[in-house]
Amino acid sequence: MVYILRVRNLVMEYAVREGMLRAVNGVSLDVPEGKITALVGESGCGKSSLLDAILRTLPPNGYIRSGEVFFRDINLLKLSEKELRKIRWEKIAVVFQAAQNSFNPVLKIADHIVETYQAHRNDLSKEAIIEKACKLLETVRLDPNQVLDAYPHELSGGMKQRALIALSLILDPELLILDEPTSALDTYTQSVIIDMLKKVHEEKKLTMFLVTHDLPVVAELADYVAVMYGGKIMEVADVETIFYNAKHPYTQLLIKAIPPLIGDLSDRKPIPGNPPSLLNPPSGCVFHPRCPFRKPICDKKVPPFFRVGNNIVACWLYGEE
Amino acid sequence: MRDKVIVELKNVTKYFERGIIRKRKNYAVIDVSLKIREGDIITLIGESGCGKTTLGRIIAGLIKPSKGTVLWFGKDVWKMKKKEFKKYRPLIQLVHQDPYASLNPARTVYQILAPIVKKYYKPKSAAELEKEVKNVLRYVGLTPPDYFLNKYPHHLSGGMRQRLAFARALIPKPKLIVADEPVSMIDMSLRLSVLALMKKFNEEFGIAFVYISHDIATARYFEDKATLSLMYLGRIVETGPMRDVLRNPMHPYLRAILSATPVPDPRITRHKRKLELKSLEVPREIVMLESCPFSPRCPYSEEICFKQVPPPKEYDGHIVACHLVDKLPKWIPPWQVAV
Repeated sequence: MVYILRVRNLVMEYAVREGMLRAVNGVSLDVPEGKITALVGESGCGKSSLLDAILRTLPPNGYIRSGEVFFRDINLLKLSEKELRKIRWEKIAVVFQAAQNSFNPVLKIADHIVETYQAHRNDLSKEAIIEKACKLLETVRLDPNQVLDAYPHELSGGMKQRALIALSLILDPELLILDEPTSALDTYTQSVIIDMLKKVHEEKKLTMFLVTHDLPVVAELADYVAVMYGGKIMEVADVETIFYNAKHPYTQLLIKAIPPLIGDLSDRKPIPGNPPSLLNPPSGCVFHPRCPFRKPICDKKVPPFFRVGNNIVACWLYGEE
Repeated sequence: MRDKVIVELKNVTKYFERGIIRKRKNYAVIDVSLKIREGDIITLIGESGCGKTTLGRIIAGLIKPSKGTVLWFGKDVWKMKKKEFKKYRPLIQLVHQDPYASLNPARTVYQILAPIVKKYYKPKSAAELEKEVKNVLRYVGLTPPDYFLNKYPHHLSGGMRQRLAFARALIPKPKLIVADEPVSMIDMSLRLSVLALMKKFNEEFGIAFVYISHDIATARYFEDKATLSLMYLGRIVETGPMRDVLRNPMHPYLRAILSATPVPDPRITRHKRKLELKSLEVPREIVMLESCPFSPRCPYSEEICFKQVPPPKEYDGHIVACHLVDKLPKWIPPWQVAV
C-alpha cells in the first residue's frame, strides 16, 4: 500500500494560562492512497489539533514540539510558508467544519472559485475555470446557474457544504481532508453529503481523510479507522474490524455507548467516568481511569502499539512489557 | 392520577412578523394540538428550522401563541392571574442544548444551586441548605458532592454541566421538563448517561418530559413509553407510540429520514436502501398554508397534495397527516434486506 500522508511521533502543545496543554501526544498515523481513512474521537481528544498541526494552521499559542509529517516524501513541517502554500489546496484540500465560515460573505461563489484557481495556477482562462466549476457543482448535485451567482448567505447550510466540497476539488487535489463534514446538518442533508462524497471518491479515486466524532457516519464511509483518545491513537484497523472485532477497551465501549437507530438497546451503556484533562493527563495509559480491564501496569507505563490480527492496538491487554 | 392532562395545546399557531412597512409573517408552528399527561415522555423530532424549539417554548409557557390556547391543568396559561402564573411558572422547567451557555460562568456549583434550594426547600440553617444541595448533586450523579460544590462551570465537562442543568431543573419539583436537544453537545461516550438521568427523573418522580431532538436514534432510548411526534415545517405530520411508529412509519418524510440515518454497523448501513426525495432542499421562507408542506419534496406526491393541507388521520394506531396514507407502499425497513 502507498501512503500519501505519514505522521510520525507528532507532539503538539498549546500554551495556556495553567501551563502547557498537550493536545497531540506522540501520534503516528498513515493515510493510504485511494482510500477513505477516518480519525474518530470525542470532543477534546485532540483530533482537530492534529489536523491543524498537519496543515500547520495552528493558532499563535500552538506549538509543534517534535515529530514529522510527510506528504509523499515532503516533510511538511520543514517547508517554508511559501512552499507550504503550494501544497495547501493544490495537493491537500480541506473542507472545514463550519462551511458557512469558510466563505467570504461579500464574494459570489463563482468569484471564490476563480480566485482560488488563479492564486495557484494561470493555465486556464476565467471561462474555462467556470466551465470546470460547473462540472464540479453538478457532481455535488448543485445547479451551477443558481449557485455560481449566489452569495454565500443565499445558500442553505447543506448547499454551502456542497459548494465548499466543489471548491475544494477545483485544483484536483491528491488528498481531501474533511473535518466533521456532516455535523450541524439535518439527517437527510447529511445522507446527501455522504452519498456525494462516496461518488467523488469512486469517480476520482480521491484519497480522503475524514475527521469526525460520528461513528455511524464512519461506518458508512470509511475504509480504515483510527481511534483517538486523550491526544493519542488507541487503535487502528479496517472499518469492519473496528465495528465487529475491536480490541481496545475504549473502542469496544465507545461502540456500545452510541444510541443506535435499530437493534437491541439493552446492552448499550455509557462509558463510566469522564474524558481526561489534557492539562494533567493520567499517568500510563490515558484511558486507564475509565477502563474496566485495567491491570497494575496500566497506570505506570504508556502502552506501545501491539499488532493483534487486523488491529493495531495500544493496550497492555495484548502484550507484555 | 397518572392520566391527568398537564398541558394541552389546542390548534396552536405561532408566527413571527418581520418588516416594518410591509409586514410578512414567518410561520414557526402551524395548527398544532397535543396533550401531555402526567409522566408522559413526548419526543419532538424534526430538522432545524421546523419549529420544534418554538413549540417547546410554547409548551413551557415562554412564548405566547399567535392563535390557539395553551392549557395548564385545564386553565388557559395566558389568561392566568399574576399569582396563579407565578405558581405555575416553576412547575415547567427547561433544559437547554448548550450547557456551556446556560450556566453562569461566574458562579460556583453551590452558588448556582443554593438560591433555588433556599427558595423551594426553605432550609432552617446554612448546614441544612448545604446538605440539601449535596443531596441534589448526589442524585444527579455529581459525586462526591464536596468535590463539586466550589467548582465553576468551566471546570466541568459537558456531561457534568448538563447534569448540573438537570439538577437545577429538578429542585422546584416540576411536573414537566422541556429538554431541547440536551445531548447534542455531550460527548458520545456520555450521551446515554444523560438520557438515563432523564429516565430516572421520569420513573422516580413521575416528571413528564418533552424531549426535543433532530435525532431519532437518541429519542429511541425512551421507546418503551414515549410518544413520537414528527414535525415538518411547523406542523406535526405523524404522531403515535414510538415503538408502533418506528415499526410502521407512514409519513413519507419519516420514512425518508429513517432510511437516510446511518447506523453504526458498516455492513448494514452500506446496503440499506434510501428513499430518495424529489428535492434536496427544504423550501425556504415559503410556508404552505394551502398544501401539504412536504409535497415539493415527496416522492409520492399527487395533485391533491399541492391543493390541500392533509387532515390528520388515524392509521394503525398512530396519527398521520398525509393524503396518500392508504396508497403508500408497504414499509419495508431499508436495512432489512442487508446482511
